[in-house]
Order: sequence, then structure tokens, then C-alpha cells
Amino acid sequence: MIRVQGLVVRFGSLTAVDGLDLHVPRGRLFGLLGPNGAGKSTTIGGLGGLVAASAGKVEVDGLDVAADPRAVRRRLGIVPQRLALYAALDATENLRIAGGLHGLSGRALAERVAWGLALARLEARHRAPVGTLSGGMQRRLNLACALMHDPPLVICDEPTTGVDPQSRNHIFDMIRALHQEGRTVVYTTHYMEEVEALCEEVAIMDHGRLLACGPLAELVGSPAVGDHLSVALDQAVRPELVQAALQAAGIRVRGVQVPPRSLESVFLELTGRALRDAS
Amino acid sequence: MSWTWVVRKDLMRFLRDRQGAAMSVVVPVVLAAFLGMLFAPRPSTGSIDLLVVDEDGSAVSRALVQAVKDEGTFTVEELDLVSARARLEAGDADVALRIPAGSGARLGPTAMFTGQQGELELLFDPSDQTEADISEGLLTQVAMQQTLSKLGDRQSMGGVFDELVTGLPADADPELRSFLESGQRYAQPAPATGETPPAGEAPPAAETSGGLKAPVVFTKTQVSAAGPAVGYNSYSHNFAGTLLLFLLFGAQSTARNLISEREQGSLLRLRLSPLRPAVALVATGVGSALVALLVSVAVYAVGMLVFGVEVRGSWLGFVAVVLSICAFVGGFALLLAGLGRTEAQVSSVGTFAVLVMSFAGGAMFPSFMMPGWLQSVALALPTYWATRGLAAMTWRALPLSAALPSVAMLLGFALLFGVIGLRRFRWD
Repeated sequence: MIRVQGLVVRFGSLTAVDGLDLHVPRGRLFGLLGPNGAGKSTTIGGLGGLVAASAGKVEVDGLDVAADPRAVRRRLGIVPQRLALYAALDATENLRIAGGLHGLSGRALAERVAWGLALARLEARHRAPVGTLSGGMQRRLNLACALMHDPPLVICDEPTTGVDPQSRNHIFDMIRALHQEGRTVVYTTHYMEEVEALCEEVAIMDHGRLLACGPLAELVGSPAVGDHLSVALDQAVRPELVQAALQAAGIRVRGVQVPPRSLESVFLELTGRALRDAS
Repeated sequence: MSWTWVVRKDLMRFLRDRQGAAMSVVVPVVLAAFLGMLFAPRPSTGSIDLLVVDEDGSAVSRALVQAVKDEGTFTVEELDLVSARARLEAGDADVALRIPAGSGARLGPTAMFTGQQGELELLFDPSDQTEADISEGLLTQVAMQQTLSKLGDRQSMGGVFDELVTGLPADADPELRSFLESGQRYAQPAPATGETPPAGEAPPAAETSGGLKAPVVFTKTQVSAAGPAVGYNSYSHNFAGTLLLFLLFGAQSTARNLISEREQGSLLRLRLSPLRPAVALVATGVGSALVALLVSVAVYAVGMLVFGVEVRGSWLGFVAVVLSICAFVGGFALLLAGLGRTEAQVSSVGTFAVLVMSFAGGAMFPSFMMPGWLQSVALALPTYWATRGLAAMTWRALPLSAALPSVAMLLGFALLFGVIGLRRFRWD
């Protein structure tokens, strides 16, 4: 569904994305992880044709984004990190505008608006100005607006920022439902637990580069879990060497096992522990 | 059509704020009413554009024209009556002085005594009543000075008194006869050395004002395409000017909203749609123009129903001017959004531009109240063409053709401003 080859995006002297290669197969729920300033949002901008590539090629559903960004946007629903809502208007009006901008009209638009209100669970507040809705309601509406044109590919850019646990769970349910309907979903965040809870494949990027990519189980997978011994190593060594060393020292062991690492530990190992400022 | 949703979005936002929408009509109406009362009689501050139609063409009339030029208050232009009327009807001049054929013979000093004064016509723009009154006074003064100058030497004065005494009927007032004969004696050649006339016998002619009359009388005629019977309605000018001022502030508000949408993120809704960026921006301009049209209709409805503003010219021309003003407002909104990177910049730059254009363009004050150089600059301002077009179609009662220059200029400005705005607007 998404194929990125050697994508480079520069803003003046700043290289936001530096030779990114990425492949997201159709129908996957794909996590894109990275700290602030890693280049995630710029990559999303490149997918939607909002950011011009300095080099490389981006294809969405077989379409070259640079050649036909408008056609790509018809197949793509981007849920932006910032709320793309008109605060003075109500939920219904926001949904109508979002659908109308994608060419919906008449009965089709009305039906889709009703669908969007139900999806965001805003039927009871559909006439309230968006500015008066809670943060969670606004996030749900933001997501529903991006889906008004029923796109096969959905990209969510940190869709749970600033929401309460209930709204977060509902957003998770919405995303799982979208995936189960057969859509390809790219979920961007820096919350590890969200990716672990939702995604089947994960890419980790930093400084505009892809650091790791693959099935979640492979990334977090590790040698068998040891039940009785925990060894803190000063250097990275293979378990067999530890076992051999132990055996050479005359210590009888049934085996040396490395405890499973969390995705967060993998992430921090790859991207470092230094604080990042928002870009 | 998808782009219409950009327009609908802006209309929805405008109408959703009902109090704000109402104020966008109420405030210009109140201000226009206030200014209309304030400027009904207007003081003159600058030079007066005086057209002179010298149909007499005599040496006397030419001398009078020269004296008017030399007076300094007037900027004089000589031309024929038809051209002068056309200029007044179009509002391109304040006052015209017509010297009818044959009137030159009655502009001499004898008219001051006989009462058979030269009759001149003063044609004026109905919106320039004060200019006409001032012109009448000044022109009378010029004629008086010119006439008195003919009595400056004893020979000329003697000729005048000889003519007056000869023309007296037999039953004339003895006191008048005695006065004129004493004038004859005073005008005799002066004694060779140091001799002064007998005391009390011959006062200078200029001081015998008791029986003297002004050498000219003026017939004042209002000139407008609607005819002299139709008076000038100061509300017509002020409704046009105030409406324009607030439409421009509305454009500034649109530009601020666009910048605000960019800063808050809702502009992404347009960017993520399949619309071309230029189409989305133009649609925003169209939305601004439609809001301007709504406000214009409401303000003029109040002006017509309550304050007697009338479309005395072409209704088609009036509609064309209003629509082109709205198009210009849309272009101006895009220009401000393109020039200002932040809301604060749009506010400061926009307020400056709106006020300068409104005041210098004659939207708030009639252009004749401004210095000459500023009146020339006004020709380069869209507000000048907007107020000119509205004046032509309302109280000036001019035909459709008089609206076309304004329509063309306003659409030109709309296009120019819109293109600059599109090229300079930053989506991020």
C-alpha cells in the first residue's frame, strides 16, 4: 500500500528525512515510532503530498505522490496531530465540510455524516460548537472527519494526544475496527504501549532515518526467559559464551536465558536516552 | 463542487457568530448616519476647482476671467458649457462660472449705480454647496475689485460720471444728481500744484457705498444628471464610504481567520482534501466576497429605507459596482493573508492599509477636502473608484456607462491583489 524509496526531505540546511525506505503492505496495522523530531510527521507529509520530496520516491496504492497528489489524497485519510476542526462550528457542520471537500453531497453526504457522528459517539452533542467539546470528543471527531471519504489507507498522527483513558480506548477501538474492515492503518506515536497494544508491524525512526522495521514479535522477541538467574552484563555477550564461561568456571547450569525485552527498551537502545525537544 | 464547501464553511462561520454578523451591519449604519449628519454642510479647506465658460468673450469678460485666475483661491479651467456640465455631473469639478453672451457690456462700473448688473451663472455639484457659496462671495469680490480698478484714474472716473449724469432722467432724485455732478467735478483734471478738492465735495467713488450695488449678480444652478430639482443626500456618500470601510475590515478579518487556521491546524482540512491549493484560496476569497455582499445588501437596505439613499442612476450599474467592490474585498483578503505571516502582522498592516485607503480614497471624507497631491494619489486607490462608482449610480444619477470605469478598476485591483496573495501565501 505504501512504498517509500530513498525519501529525502530537506528544509534549508535541515534534513528532516534522510534516505528513508519503507514498505507497508496492504491491510496492515503498522506502527511508526520515533522521538520528537525523528521525522515522522514529515514522512506523513510526504505520503500525503503536503511536503515536497528533495529526493526519492513515494507511492501510495500504486500512485506516485509527486505526480498526482490529489488522486493520492482521495485514497488517503490523514488524522493530523493538530486538530483540523473549526471550533466555532458544530460536529455535524465539521463532518459535512470534511465530506463536502472530498466531493460528497446530498444523501451520500448525509449518510456519511450520520456514520461519522456514530463513529465518534457524538450523536448527543452533534449541535454543540466544537470548541465546547472535551479534548477526547474533539480527538474522536478529528478522526471521523479524516474518514468521511471512506479511504482505504488511514494515517493517524498521534491521535490520542491529551485524551482521557476512556477516549483513548475508544480511539483504539475505532482503529481496530478500521483495520478489521480491511483498511491499511499507519499509527504514528511515541507511546510504546499504544503500538504494542495495536500494531502488528513496527518501524522505528530517528534523525530522519529508519532504525528498525519488522513484525512486533520479532522486534521484542528474545532468547528464552530465565526463571532463576538474572545477570547484569557490563558488555554485550552471547548467552552461549556466558554459559561456556560458567561451565569453564565449573558452574553447572541448565542453561543461560535472557529475559524478554520490552519494545521500549529496544526503542531506547536504538534512539538513546537523551531528552528531545519538540521540532 | 468541492470548492464550494470552502465558501460554505466561511459563510457558516460568519453567520454562526450572529452578534458579530449583526454588528457588521449595525456599526457601519450608525457611523454612516453620524457622518451624514456631520458632513451635510461642509467647510472648504482647499483650493476650488472652477470651470469657466466664457460665452461673452469680450475684453471685459476676459479681464474678469484673468482677475479670477489671479485671485489665487481658484484653480481655473476654461471650457465650453456642455463639457463643464458633464464634469460637474461626474463630480470631477466643484463649481463652474458661466459668463453669458452679452453680459460683458454690463460688467462696467455704471452697473454699480444703475442696478443693471451683469448676470452670471454659477453651476455647482450639489454635494459642493459650501464651495458654491464661497465661490459666489469670492467672485463678487473679484468683480468688485476689477470694477473699482477702472475708477483708479480721474479720466476713467470722469467718463463714468459723465455717462451716468447724461443717462439720468429729468425727474431723477435731486440728491443723486447732485452726488453724480460732484463726482464729475472731482474727476476734473487735478490742479498743477498741491491743490486738494474742497472738503466734503467729492468723496472717492468707492466710499459712496450707500447707493452702490455689487457689479454682478449670480444665478446659482445645481448640476446633476438627476436634474436641479433633486437635492444632494449626504447619506448617499457616507453610506458608501462607511460600508466600504467596514467591508475592508471584514476582509482583514478573513485574512486573520486564514492565518489563525494555519496556526491552529484547521487549515490542514483544506490541504488534506483533493482541492488544488490555489482553488482553495480563491474559494476563501469568494467566501469573503459573499460575506461582503450580504453586509452590503443589509447596509444599503437600511440606508434606502431609513435614510433616503436612492439609486437614481442605473440599477444595473449599481449592482455591478457593488459586486465588483465585493470581488475587490475578496482579493484584498487574500492579499493581506499573503503579506502577513502572523495574525498580529495582518492586524497591523491591514488596519493601516484600510484606514489609508479609506481616508485617502475619499471613502470617509469627500476628496475636495484633501490636498491636491492627495487627490491625485487617490486615483490609484481602489476605494476612490468604489466611492466614485457608488456616487455615480446613487445621487449623481448617471447612466450605466459611468459605472464601467469603476467596475473595471475594481475588478483589476481584485485580480492584482488576489494573484499577489496567492503567490505569497504560506500554507505552513
